[in-house]
Order: sequence, then structure tokens, then C-alpha cells
Amino acid sequence: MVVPNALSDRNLSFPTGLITGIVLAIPGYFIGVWTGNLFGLFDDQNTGVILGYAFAVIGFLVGLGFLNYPLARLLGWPVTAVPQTVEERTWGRYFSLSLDHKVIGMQYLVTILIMLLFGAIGAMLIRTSLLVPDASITPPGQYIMLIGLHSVMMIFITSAVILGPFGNYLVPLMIGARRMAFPRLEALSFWVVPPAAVILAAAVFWGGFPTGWTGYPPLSEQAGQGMDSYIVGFVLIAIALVTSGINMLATIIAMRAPGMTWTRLPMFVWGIFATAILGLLAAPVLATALVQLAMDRTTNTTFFVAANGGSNYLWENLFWFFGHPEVYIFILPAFGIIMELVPHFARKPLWGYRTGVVGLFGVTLLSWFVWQHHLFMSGIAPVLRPFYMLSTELISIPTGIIFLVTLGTMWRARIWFSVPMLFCMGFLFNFLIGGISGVYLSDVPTDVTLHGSYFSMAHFHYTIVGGEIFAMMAACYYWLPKMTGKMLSPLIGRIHFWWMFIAFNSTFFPLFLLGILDMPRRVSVYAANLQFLNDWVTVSAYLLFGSMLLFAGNLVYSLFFVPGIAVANPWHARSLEWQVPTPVPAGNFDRVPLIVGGPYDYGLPNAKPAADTFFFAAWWFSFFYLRALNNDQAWRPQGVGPPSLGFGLVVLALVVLMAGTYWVMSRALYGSFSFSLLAPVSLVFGIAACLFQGFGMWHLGFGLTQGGYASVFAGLTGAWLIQLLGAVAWLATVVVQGRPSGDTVVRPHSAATFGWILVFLAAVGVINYLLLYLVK
Amino acid sequence: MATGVSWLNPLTWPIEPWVLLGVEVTAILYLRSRSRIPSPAGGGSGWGRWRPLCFWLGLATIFFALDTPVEWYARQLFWVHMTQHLLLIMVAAPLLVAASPWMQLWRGLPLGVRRPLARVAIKHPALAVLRRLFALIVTPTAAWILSSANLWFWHWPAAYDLTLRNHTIHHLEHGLFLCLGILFWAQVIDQHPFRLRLSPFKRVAYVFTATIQAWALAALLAFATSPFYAYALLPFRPGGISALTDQQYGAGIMWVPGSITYSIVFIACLYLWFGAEDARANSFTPRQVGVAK
Amino acid sequence: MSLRIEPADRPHAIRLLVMWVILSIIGIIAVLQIHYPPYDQTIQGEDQSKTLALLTAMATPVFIGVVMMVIYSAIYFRRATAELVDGPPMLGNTPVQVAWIGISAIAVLFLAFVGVTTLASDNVAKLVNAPGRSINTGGQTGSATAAERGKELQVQVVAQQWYFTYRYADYGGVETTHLYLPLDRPVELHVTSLDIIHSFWAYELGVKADANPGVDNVFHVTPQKTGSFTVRCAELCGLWHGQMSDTEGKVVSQSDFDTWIAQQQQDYAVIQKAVPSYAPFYFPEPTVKGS
Repeated sequence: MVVPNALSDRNLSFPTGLITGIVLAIPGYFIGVWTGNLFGLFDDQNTGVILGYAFAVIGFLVGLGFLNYPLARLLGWPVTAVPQTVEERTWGRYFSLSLDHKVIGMQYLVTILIMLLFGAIGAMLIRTSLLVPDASITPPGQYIMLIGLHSVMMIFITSAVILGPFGNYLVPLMIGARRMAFPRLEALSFWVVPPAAVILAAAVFWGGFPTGWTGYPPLSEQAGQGMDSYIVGFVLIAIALVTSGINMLATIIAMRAPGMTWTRLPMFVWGIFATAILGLLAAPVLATALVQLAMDRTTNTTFFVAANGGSNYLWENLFWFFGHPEVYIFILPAFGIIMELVPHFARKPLWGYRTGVVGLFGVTLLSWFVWQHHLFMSGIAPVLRPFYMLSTELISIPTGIIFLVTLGTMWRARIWFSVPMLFCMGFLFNFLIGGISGVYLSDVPTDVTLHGSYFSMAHFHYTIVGGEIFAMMAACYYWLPKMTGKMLSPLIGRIHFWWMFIAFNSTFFPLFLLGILDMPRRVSVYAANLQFLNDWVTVSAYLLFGSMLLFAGNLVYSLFFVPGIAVANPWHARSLEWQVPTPVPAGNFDRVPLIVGGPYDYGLPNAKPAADTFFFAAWWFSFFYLRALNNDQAWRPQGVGPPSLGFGLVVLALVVLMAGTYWVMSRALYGSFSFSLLAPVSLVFGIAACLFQGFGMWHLGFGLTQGGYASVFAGLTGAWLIQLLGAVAWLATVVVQGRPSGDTVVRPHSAATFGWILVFLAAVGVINYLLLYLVK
Repeated sequence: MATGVSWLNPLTWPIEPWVLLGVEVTAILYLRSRSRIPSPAGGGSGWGRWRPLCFWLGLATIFFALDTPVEWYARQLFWVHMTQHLLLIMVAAPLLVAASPWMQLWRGLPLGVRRPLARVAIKHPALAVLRRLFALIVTPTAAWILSSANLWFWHWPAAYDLTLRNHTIHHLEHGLFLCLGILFWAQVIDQHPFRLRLSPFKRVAYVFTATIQAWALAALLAFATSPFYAYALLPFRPGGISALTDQQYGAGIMWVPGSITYSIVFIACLYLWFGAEDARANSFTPRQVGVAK
Repeated sequence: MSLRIEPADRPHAIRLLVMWVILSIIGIIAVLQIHYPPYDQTIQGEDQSKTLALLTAMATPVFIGVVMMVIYSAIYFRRATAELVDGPPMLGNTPVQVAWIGISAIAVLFLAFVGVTTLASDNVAKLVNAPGRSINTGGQTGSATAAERGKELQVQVVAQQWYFTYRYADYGGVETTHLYLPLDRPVELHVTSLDIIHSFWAYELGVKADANPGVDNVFHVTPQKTGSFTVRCAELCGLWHGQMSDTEGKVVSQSDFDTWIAQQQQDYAVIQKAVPSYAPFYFPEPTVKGS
């Protein structure tokens, strides 16, 4: 079977690629700004900036060529699969939309490393500013911009640093698949990342944003246009997480080779699997929170404004409900890497394989359940604190299992301390400290002193940098020989490891002490007696940066100045990815047969609706939360109420009819008369529903600033309407493709899957109606 | 405060006649069958040895939850009432299922009763509808939906307050919790003579999804900013806590300790699924894939 | 299912166990010599110090154990020859796994139990010499009990960009720029904000409470030693977040406090008419943004 790099015989008449993308992004931005200023309610330009960024990204993606395939399918152009031959392995393919997961992995790797460089420079500037106890080196405005940019850039990076490059490159190889389940989605998940980074960097032009990565309102509502970079950038990363999650789950579930049962899956793949679940379900909640923030900033809703029926706790809860699984998205791939590499270098089977998997899933499960430990001091109901304390402390049990499994594998082994293994050992040490410090923070009495101080900074830098980045380094040294065909120099590698390990601990361990000694985080001034420690940290940070430069040097040297290609299996490992030759051929395997036909049609049960459920659930949570927090007058002042009940019922009926007729149609015989009749009928219902709902929203009868109910009504109905519009547009393509005369390319299976989506939207509509019209 | 109810004096315990009767009858049936059918020498192998213990612990839990001063406190404190329900659904029901006493209980009935009873239940045409209904109820999907819906229903304020006022309804509530709990756990825990209909992996998903819906309810109660139930009308609660605090304690207890059984069963099902996967893997030729285990 | 230790494992296990026990004992003794913040200026602070000490004492053997295993492996389980030889195929050892998980579960549950009892032992501050301990708690939904309320000094902390002010409800709502607390008297802090989220962190008092607009965040503290304390803002609040600190908080004797507050009331009388009267929280007027 050939690798799909489907090209249409008839193309859009301009060449697509990175240059086109950039060329289209620029007018996209200006169109967005113009549109925003046209419709924006105030002269504070936020709508313009947000729409500008959004249109720029759309223009970029269109220019790259994402629209080619859907357009071709929509308009019925014949689609042919073009095999990718060895001769096509040029540099150019890294700068264009490629459907080869290996290319996407390399694209991710280079992009992330460049972003890492910028994030690290930001960190150096921050530390330089902290050389003196006052704000003389960097004025407060610049300092706050630096910490915002550094932190958010690093969050973008660490969300994807292992999942992106190594997950994409290796998962199909490790499970014996020839490609990923949804290559286009995977390409999308990559190509939103450079725009996200650029948009984030663009915040500099607006003076940055003042909230750090947590974006707490009302400060984030007070902020200038730089905040919009934060919003749009984070939405893009959320999209990347969701699409990547869908893809990884579908690939791992559906595309394993025969004989690759679940209990033979490499631990790295298990780690990616767990990460994908978290990413898929947590990111939509962030999307809700960001949409609400954007609405507050543009249309003056009051989601987070306490004076008008909103609450800043809503943001805190939504954000951290995402935020805590997010940090496990950081570390679960790292756990996977450690448990993957150590057996190969210890030359022993993984000790306690099943327990290791249970550990990973224990972490995954419990991570949903601990988020309020970020809010211990925020003023949440006191009786909740013991429960979150308990659940957070319980997470240390599955985390401990990872250590158990690794140490057990090393027991009485014949360990080869190669450079990747050294980084694994470094991980164990660093994450031990990071994890233990987490227990300190989870204990509410001690959290009183430690929350929001340098102690928590030290905790998350130990876990993320000392944990995830060290694991990433191990992954680089281990897998780059396969991915690039070049072995990184072991000598430089060893120097790199020891330099980095010592500099890292020297940089971040004193931060624990600083936190205990009354230094809050995100400050540019501190008590004079802490200067020695801060200076020590800064100098160590410079050294740490130096070690990263050494790594970069190793990369450049080994990739470009060392001749020859690495052997196919330099580590003599037994896992599947090492059994293919280097460089890896386009189809990965010649002899392993594919296990399922047509994974596109599989439509992983409820993957998309699952993510969407969380998106809407976050809105429903907002409804109940704000309603409960406010008295009636603040929640729904006089004159604010749902448009007439009958009106809402009409819209609901139309949507249900749309979903119902489609459902019946999809069950009908393909190509039969009822099939061709019901599709347009369903479309008519859908269009009518959209029109009615749009009309209703245009004539709401109350202002969005009037209380929390108004805000939630607008946001929830608006989000639902947008998704409905998307569904109706898709439905239109189904109708067009299904016309009797045309060359139909609708596959029955995907038509049925789409039916589920319509039913889902109808169900959401019912719940929305109940909440907004009846419960009020 | 203690108006005559004391832990040390069983005569003051608020014993419910029906509950006591039920527990006693079950115990007698069980003992009767065990005395007539000798247990295997050595007490059986592996898991089998623990079955009687599970059974007695399960019965004891029911008794403890419903007939000791716990019941008295449950009338005053929401969180104790919650603990009661959790003992029924999360401790007693799974223990009883793990004990799989069904054959013993059945055989505890005298033969003269069993034969006609069985004949009627299985063959009588008038009961055909009931039989079909029963077959429908014991399917996994129905069991999940019923036990979850039951859980949510009784937490609806109107229903909950009704149980506080009406004794019969209260018994019905406890009975439903216990029976539907048994029905739920029966889908995932092996118990003779019923064969599990769910594949090992589906069992994992089954328990997982049930856990999530229970958490949703607990979260709803935990985040509420006003008390939902009639406990708020009580002038005074032991410990002097407010009704809202009481509710939040209850929610927390439902959330964390209430998840213990779910977690244990989840992990057990996970390991069983791994075992099944390993068995499946070994049926493939190892040469086809060269993965280190 | 017994804990079998194979003969080949025994020497390693014994060595490791002995080293671990010795190093842990030394480690625990060492860490218990340290004085942990927030020291003992308040009852709550003292409890927090003790918890910190307990945590460090429990963390020490864990840290020593894992690091020791890693180093031991590096020395004794290193490959001896240049050619790659496989190690013994050990797939797992159920008793060891169960023991590890069980012990970590017990340790964690113990910590949680201690933490919960520390938190929940009292919901209201009690007097210093009373049998109960008064522990930090708070919340906007008011779960504190009614008992002992009347004896607490009500102090409101008003945060805004970028300083803290304090209002004493029992003294006519007088607003001051520094926080003075009388010795041995339980204090009920009400923390609120005028604009965005700040966080009131009084280091030596062992109090940290977020200041949210429109919210009355209640925490309790009972000072038991005179001295000064530092107040800092612990939640990023814009440009001058780092400068939002006050080193002149003081715990003074009751008589000194009375003198000070009288002086403050005198100064306050001048501006009293312009300042809104004491309330649990303050909204800016008008409440709706111009549209």
C-alpha cells in the first residue's frame, strides 16, 4: 500500500507551501483587524487584534494547502494517492504540508528547539534582572512582559516537546504501522504551533501581557492588546493538543500490527497514549475559558467580573481543571521515555510492566481530581481543602510506581551507561526532588508559606526542566541516530550531561531556599539579604544556558560535520523502531501487514464528541457556578430573561429534525431514493435552525453586560451555534457529494459517524435549552 | 445530646425490623446450605477461601450501616447518611457479589419450596413479561444506566427529603441501592453461577465510566453554595457544623472514600485484562514481532 | 505468595538496607535541627513549622533511598565487559511491588491524616491558653462556627494595585497603612480586593490569603509572640507586584496596640467622610461598564 500524499489532479491554481502561507497570512491579519474594528463594540481594538490573528492563521493554513483535500472532496475532484519515493526526500518537504509522520516529527523537533532557544533567552534576561534586589536592570513593565513571554513560550514548548517530535516520529514505528491514522490532522497539529509562537512573540509589540501564564482575571481583562496574543496562542495550542490526541489514540488503538497486543506495547507508546487522553479532554476546557476571556474583553460580557454577576473563581476553576492535566501532559511522555530506555540499557525486561502501565493510568486518572490544590489559598470552601490535599498526595503513589519499575529494572542488571542512560539517571534524581517538593505544596498548612513563592517555582522547574527536558535530552541522544541518521557525539554528550546536571541543580535548588525565605514569585525586587542566593542562581543559570548551547553545538557538529550514516541499531535494542533501516523508508515497513483497512472510517468511538463534551461541560459548569455564586439580582437583573420559550423550542425542534432525518438517511440503503431525498431535507432543517438561532441571538433583548446569565447565554448559545454552522456546512458537502449524477465519494461509514455528531449537537441543544430557558 | 442511643448498649440501637429480618433470613439460608453441602477440603483454593468471609462481612456491613447508631446519626447528619449509602453500595454490594452466595442461598431453601418456586419462575406463562424484563435489566448497559439513574434520582432534593419523611420509601431507597449495587458489581466481578457478559477490556471501561458519573454527582454536591436537603431545617447538628459544611463533608466522603471500591475493582479488571492480552499475544508467532517485553 | 529473596539478591538487599537505615537516621536527626519557617510568632505558624519539619523528616529517607539505589546501581550493576550481555530476565516480584505500593500508600495516607486533623481541629481561632489549637482556615462561604466569634479582633485587609491597607471593624472602620496586631488575641482577617486578585502573605504570621474583588476571604491567626513581620503580595497583580510589600507589620502588647489605634483613629477622623464605610467587600461605582 502506498503512503497517502493525496494530491488532486485538479488543484487550486496557486502553489501551496510555507511561503504561500506567510503571503496569505499577512492580508488575513489586516482583514481580521478591519472586520474586528467594524464589529467591535468598543474602541479598544481587542476584537480587531483577535480576529486579525485568527484570520492570519486561517490564511496561513490555507496557504500551506490544508484546504486542498477538503475542497477536492467537496467539489468532487478525483483524488489520487501519490507515492512518496526516496528521490523526493529533499529539504523542501520539511517546509511544506507533509503527511509523513516522520517529516512532521522532524518539523516539530526543529521548531520546538528554536522556540526553546527563545524561551531560554527570556529566562536569561529574567535572571539577569534578578542580579540586583531592585528594579534597576529591567523596569517593571519590561520585566512583567519577560516573565509572561518566557512562561507561556515554555508552556507551549513543554506541551509538545516529547509528544510532537518523538510521539509523531516513533509511535507508528513502534507499533508496526506504516503511518498514522489521521495524517492531515497531525499535520494540522504541527502547523498551528509556529503561528502560536509567532503570535505569542508578537505580544512584544503591544508591551506583552501582565498576567504570567495563568492569565487570572480581572488582571487579564485590564490588560492591553498583548493579552490577545496569549488568548489566540493558547487556543492554537489547545487545537494542537486535541488533534494530536485524537490522532495518537486512533493510531495506537486501531493500527497496531498483528501480534502487537496491548501488553506488548512499548512503554513509550503507553506514555503517549495516556498523554493523548489528557490532551484530548483537558484542552477543550481551556478553550472555553479562553473564549469567555475573549468575550469579556471584546463584547463586555461579565464572566469574570464579580461586580456584575461573574466571578474570578470561574476562570481559576476552569483554567486549573485544564492546568493540572496539562502538567501531566508534560510529564507522562517523560515517564514513558524513562521506562522505555532503561530496559534497553539495562539489557533486562522492564520489571513490573503491568504495574508500570497501571502507574501511568493512575496518574492519568488522579490528575483530573486534584486541580484545586492550586487554589488552596484562594478562598475556596475550606472543607474542600482536605479532600484535594488527600487526592494530591495520593498521586504520589502511582508516581512512585514509575520509580519502582525503573529501579527494579536496574536491579542486578548489566547497565550500559550511555549518554541517554545518564540522562535517565538525571531524570530520576531531579524528578525525585521535584516530586517530593510537590508533597510539600500539597499539604495545606505548609502550602501557606510555600504557595506563590519561589518554592513552587523550584518545584515545577525541577519536574518540568529536570524531568521532562532531561527526558527529552535522553530521547534526542537515543533516537536521533534513527531520525537523522547521525549519532550524536558521545564524548560531547557526556560533558553535556554532567555540565547540565550540575548547573541545573545549582540553579534550581537554591530556589527552594528562596521560597522558604519569603520571596514571592514573579517579582523583580526582593529583600537585600537574598541577593547572594539570587546571584548564585543567576550565574548557574548562565552555565545551564551554556550547557544547552553545548547541546546545540553537538547537534550541529554531529549532524553536519560528521560523515557517514549511523548504523540501523546502534543501541542493539529489541524494540520495533530499531528493526527498520536508517534512513527510515517512506512506508516504514515492507513486510508487516496492515491490520485494519480504512482507519479513516473507523471514527474512533466518541473521540471528537468526547473532546466536545468537555468543551460544553465547561460551559455548563460556568452556568451553575456563576448562578450559585450570585444572588438573583446579580445573576439575572430585571429585564434579562430568555427569549420566548416557544422560540427556543422551534430552534430545538429544527435541530432535532435535522439530526433525525440525517440519522434515518444514514441508515438507509446507500444511493437509494430515501438517501438522496433525506439529505437535502436534513440540510434544510439545519439551515433553518441556524437562521432562527442567529436571528434570535441578534435580537436578544438584553445587553451582555447585564449579569452573569446574559454572558453565559451568549457564550453557550454562540458556541453551540458556531458548531451547528460547521455541521451544517459539512452536511452541505454531504448533500453535494451525494447528488445522483455526481461522482460520489461519500463513504457510508463516515456518513454514519457524522450522524453521531449531529445527534451529539442535538443533545447538547436539548441540555442548553433546559438550562437556559427552564432552569434560568 | 445522646438521648438514650449508645454504641455500647445494643438494646438502644435503632433496629429496623425489616432489615434485621432480611439479614437474619439470608444468614440462615446460607448457613443451612453450607451445613448440608460440605465445603472442599482445605477450604478451597485461592479466591474461593475468601468467599464466606466476604459474605459475612457484607452482611455485617449491611447490619452496621442500617441497624446500629449509625442510622441514628444519619437522621441528623447528611454526611453520616452518605456514609451509610456508601457502605451499602460500595462495601456491602461488592462484598456480596464477590462472595457469590447465590447458589448457597438458593439451596438453603428447602427442596419442597425450591422446586415449585423454580417451576413458576422459569416456566409460568403469566410471568413471561417479567422474565423478559428481568433479562433486559441484567444486561450490562441496562445495569449501568439503572444503577446510575438510581443514584442520581435519590439525590434529587424532592426524592431525598421524601425518604427522610417516609419510612417505607426510605427502606425502598436502601433496598434499591443494595440491589442495583449488586446488579452493577455483578457485571464486573466474577460470581458463580452467572457468566460475565463483558469482555475484560469492556469491564475496565464499565467501571471507569461509572466512577466518572459518581464523581460528577459528588462534584455537584461539593461545589454547591447552599444546602439542598431538609437537613438544613434542623436547628442543630452534632458538632455544631452548618448544613452547608455537612453537605460538603458528605460530598467529599462520596468523592474520595467512595472511590476506593471503584479504584480497587478498576485496577483488578485492568490486571485481568492484561492477563487476557498476554494470553492472546502468546498465540501469535513470536517471530513476527521483535518487541522486548 | 511469600516474600522470596533469591540468594543472588540477598547481599545487595542487605547492604542496601543497612546503609539506608544508617543514613536515614543521620539524615532525619540532621533535618530536625533546622528551624522551619514560619517560626512561632503565631499559633498557626507554629503548627505549620511542625508540619514542615514532619514532611522533611519523612522525605529524607525517601530521598536517601532512591538516590542510594541509583548510585548503587551505577557501581554494582554496571556492565562488566565491553560486549553487551543481557541481564537476568526478571519480570517482576509481586510481593515487592505490593510492599512498595502499600508502604507509600500508608505514608501518604498518614500525611493526609495529619494534614486534615491539623486543618480541621478547630475552625475558629481559640485563645492561646485554650486546650484546642487554632488553625488557619477560611473561605467565602462562612463555614466557621459561631462560637468564640465575638472575642476575635476583626481586621480587614484591603488590597489594591499596589498596596495593602487595613481596616479595623471594631474601631469604627479606621483604615491604616500598617498592620498592628495585639498579642495573644485571636484575629479574624477578612481579605478583599478593590480591583484585581492579590494575595496577602504575612510571612512570620503564617497567613496567606488571596484578595479577590467582591469576595470576603476569611482567615484566622492568633499571635503569640511580639515582633515584626513582613507583608508581601503573593499573586501577580501587574507592574508593581514586586514592590507591593510592607516590612512594618508588628505584633505588639495590648497596651501598645491601644495607644497606636487611638492615634490612628485620630488621624483617620480627618478623611473619614471621604472613605466608604466599612463593608465586607467593595465594588466600584458604577457597577456596569459604559456601553
